[in-house]
Amino acid sequence: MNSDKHNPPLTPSDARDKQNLRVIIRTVRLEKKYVIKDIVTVALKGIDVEIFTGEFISVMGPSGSGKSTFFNMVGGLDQPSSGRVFIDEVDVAQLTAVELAFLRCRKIGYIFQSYNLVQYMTALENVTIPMTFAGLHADEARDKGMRILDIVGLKERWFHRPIEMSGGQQQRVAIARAMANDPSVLLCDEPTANLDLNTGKEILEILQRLNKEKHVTVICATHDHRMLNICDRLMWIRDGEVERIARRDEVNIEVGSIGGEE
Amino acid sequence: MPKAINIMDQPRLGLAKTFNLTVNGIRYRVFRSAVTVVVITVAIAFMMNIVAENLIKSAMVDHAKARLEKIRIEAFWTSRLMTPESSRAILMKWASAPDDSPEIAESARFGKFNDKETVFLLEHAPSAEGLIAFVESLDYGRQRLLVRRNSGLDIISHLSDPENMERFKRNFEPMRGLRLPVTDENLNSLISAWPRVLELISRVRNGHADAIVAVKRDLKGARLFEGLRHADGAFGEAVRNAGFEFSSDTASELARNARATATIELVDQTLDNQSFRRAVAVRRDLLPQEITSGDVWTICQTEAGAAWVIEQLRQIESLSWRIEPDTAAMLRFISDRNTEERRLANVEKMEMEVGERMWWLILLSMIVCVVGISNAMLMSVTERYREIATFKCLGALDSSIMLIFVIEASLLGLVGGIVGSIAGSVLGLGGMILRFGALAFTNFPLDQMLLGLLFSIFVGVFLAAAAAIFPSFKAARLAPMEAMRIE
Ligand SMILES: Nc1ncnc2c1ncn2[C@@H]1O[C@H](COP(=O)(O)OP(=O)(O)OP(=O)(O)O)[C@@H](O)[C@H]1O
Ligand SMILES: [Mg+2]
Repeated sequence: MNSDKHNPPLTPSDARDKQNLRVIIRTVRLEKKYVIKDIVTVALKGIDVEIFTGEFISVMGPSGSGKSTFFNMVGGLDQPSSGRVFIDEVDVAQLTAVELAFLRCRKIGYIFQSYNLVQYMTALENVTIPMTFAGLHADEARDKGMRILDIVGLKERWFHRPIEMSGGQQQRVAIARAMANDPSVLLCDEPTANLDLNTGKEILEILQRLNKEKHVTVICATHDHRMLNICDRLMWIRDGEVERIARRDEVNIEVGSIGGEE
Repeated sequence: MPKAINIMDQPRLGLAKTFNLTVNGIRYRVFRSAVTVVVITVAIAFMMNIVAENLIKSAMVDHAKARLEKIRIEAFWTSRLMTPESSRAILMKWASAPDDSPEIAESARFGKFNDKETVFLLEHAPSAEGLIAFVESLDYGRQRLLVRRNSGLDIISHLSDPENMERFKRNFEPMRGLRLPVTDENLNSLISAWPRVLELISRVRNGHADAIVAVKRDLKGARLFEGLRHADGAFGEAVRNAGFEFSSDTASELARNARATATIELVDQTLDNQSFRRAVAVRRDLLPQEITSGDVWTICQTEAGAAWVIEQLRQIESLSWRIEPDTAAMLRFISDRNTEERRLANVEKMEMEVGERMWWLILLSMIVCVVGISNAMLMSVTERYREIATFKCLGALDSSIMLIFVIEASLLGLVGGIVGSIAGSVLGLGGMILRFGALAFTNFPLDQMLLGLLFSIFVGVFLAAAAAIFPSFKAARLAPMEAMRIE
């Protein structure tokens, strides 16, 4: 279990020195409040993190701790109440609507807790819409969509609608869709939560392969302990605050004991 | 090799691609789209039904009015050829008819006016008639205060006396809110011109009376009615020679009516003949004593029936000499006219329905359209907020999203509009045919119906698109996760 040999040292200082890695996402005192009928819920209470190009970071935390909220802010899907999000040193709040659309379309891939597939479209069409939005020709989009569906193992089911597929299959379509435009960052909100052990493992392998071969930065919320085998760093969130950030080798010993319990 | 993120502008989705995406969406959600289309169809059909019905109705009413006008022409000319017009009628004609109209020319001919006299009367008639009409429009008490018991032309004759004029002005002063239709200056020149105006009018009257005498002489003791039967021939010529403005259209219309009346008389007389009565009774399968002229006209509804009636007439010695070459045609003409007039009676009743009520109904149906269509579109957009949010996460521009929804709504509106307006017209026309039979097609307003169709289709497309713009704009503007949270 603890047999990873190619494990880049990823404390911030290490990264900058040895790998010349850059910060791709940086948040500064990121806060988010939800107001419903005068009742204020503070979902994020000032988060400061730096995420580096090409790293695989897992975000862990109990239910309701603010993981999904964090994702939405980082992915430019929602507006923070205060604080800033920088993507490649560009303040997301400064982007125009058209630039935001570009960012969401090609630079960030989203995998949601609840899939968010378009119900009336086939698996293939769900995968090809981002390509259509990116201006890809229909034929190219179809070929590329089929290739990606092949990667997630759904090539034979390209014509199925979401309701005709299991939760796990739907999540795989969602992953395929997130990969459609070769994003630089993949944001995953519990991608394996609804998958059986084997497919879960396959998905993690896909994510790992993307991370290692295509240098895609993966930010992944999870309760799945297998994630620990893959990720470079771990981040714990509790009640909207960062509890701890650590490199995997630092936590491996602790996890080893947890693994023993299982 | 780390990837840098160079943020650029997202390209627009072309119209063709947006259109494809939309059409695919509609295809996949056929059932849901069909429901929306049905709502639009019903709303548009409701509106078009009312529009079509009213267009046909008002065309029929116009037609009926034209028919009545034709019937009135007979009474009009009979009276013109028998009694001279009143002075007031002459004044009114000179006040309101266009300067170069045939009526004015005829009147000038009767009065043997020279150009100066014509211009003079044309100049003063409007203010005189205006003043008289104004005074007559007041209530009785005020009329008495102003002009005592005078009416018509006497009003101005009365005012020609300076004392009366003084009284008129004094009493008019405190009548608040009233304004004379003539200026003081006009009033003065009218008063000074009045004796000559009266003289000219009476010359017209006398001329008219002379013309009537001339026509009478030409009739050589025959009844006027007999003469009118030949209005399209020698008699018409005589009328024209006497100075009347008697157009050939009017003449032939009158001649035909007069001949028809003669034929009606003829048929009424046939019923006195017992053998004719029996023959009709056998043909109609009734008892001889039950036979009325209506039965004869029913027989005359067909060509063969009319020929049969002529055949029977020939056998009646006392009447056969009255058969003329066109009697068969007349029999058919009157029979058709009778049926039409029965239907026209219905149309006249309908006249009240058209008019103001029509606009109310159209307004009502428009409201139904607005409410129905916007509700349907609002529903079909709001239930797709999640989809809008998803599209935004995947890089759709706000404008693309709105375009998708507007195109979709327009297409649904177009289909609903076309089906609905056709269904509505067919229903409206069907209803009219049920009520009025073939009469619904007389004077059928084809142009207006086509315009109505186009208008309804436009309303369908426009309302659907407009109703889709608002909610889709609302959702497209929001951040994706905010859009996902509404619902
Ligand atoms: N739309 C919202 N309106 C109000 N409160 C919200 C909303 N979304 C999230 N919250 C609150 O914000 C906090 C964080 O929620 P979030 O969904 O980020 O948690 P999470 O870590 O993703 O949980 P889970 O592991 O169950 O997905 C919670 O207390 C939640 O109640
Ligand atoms: Mg969550």
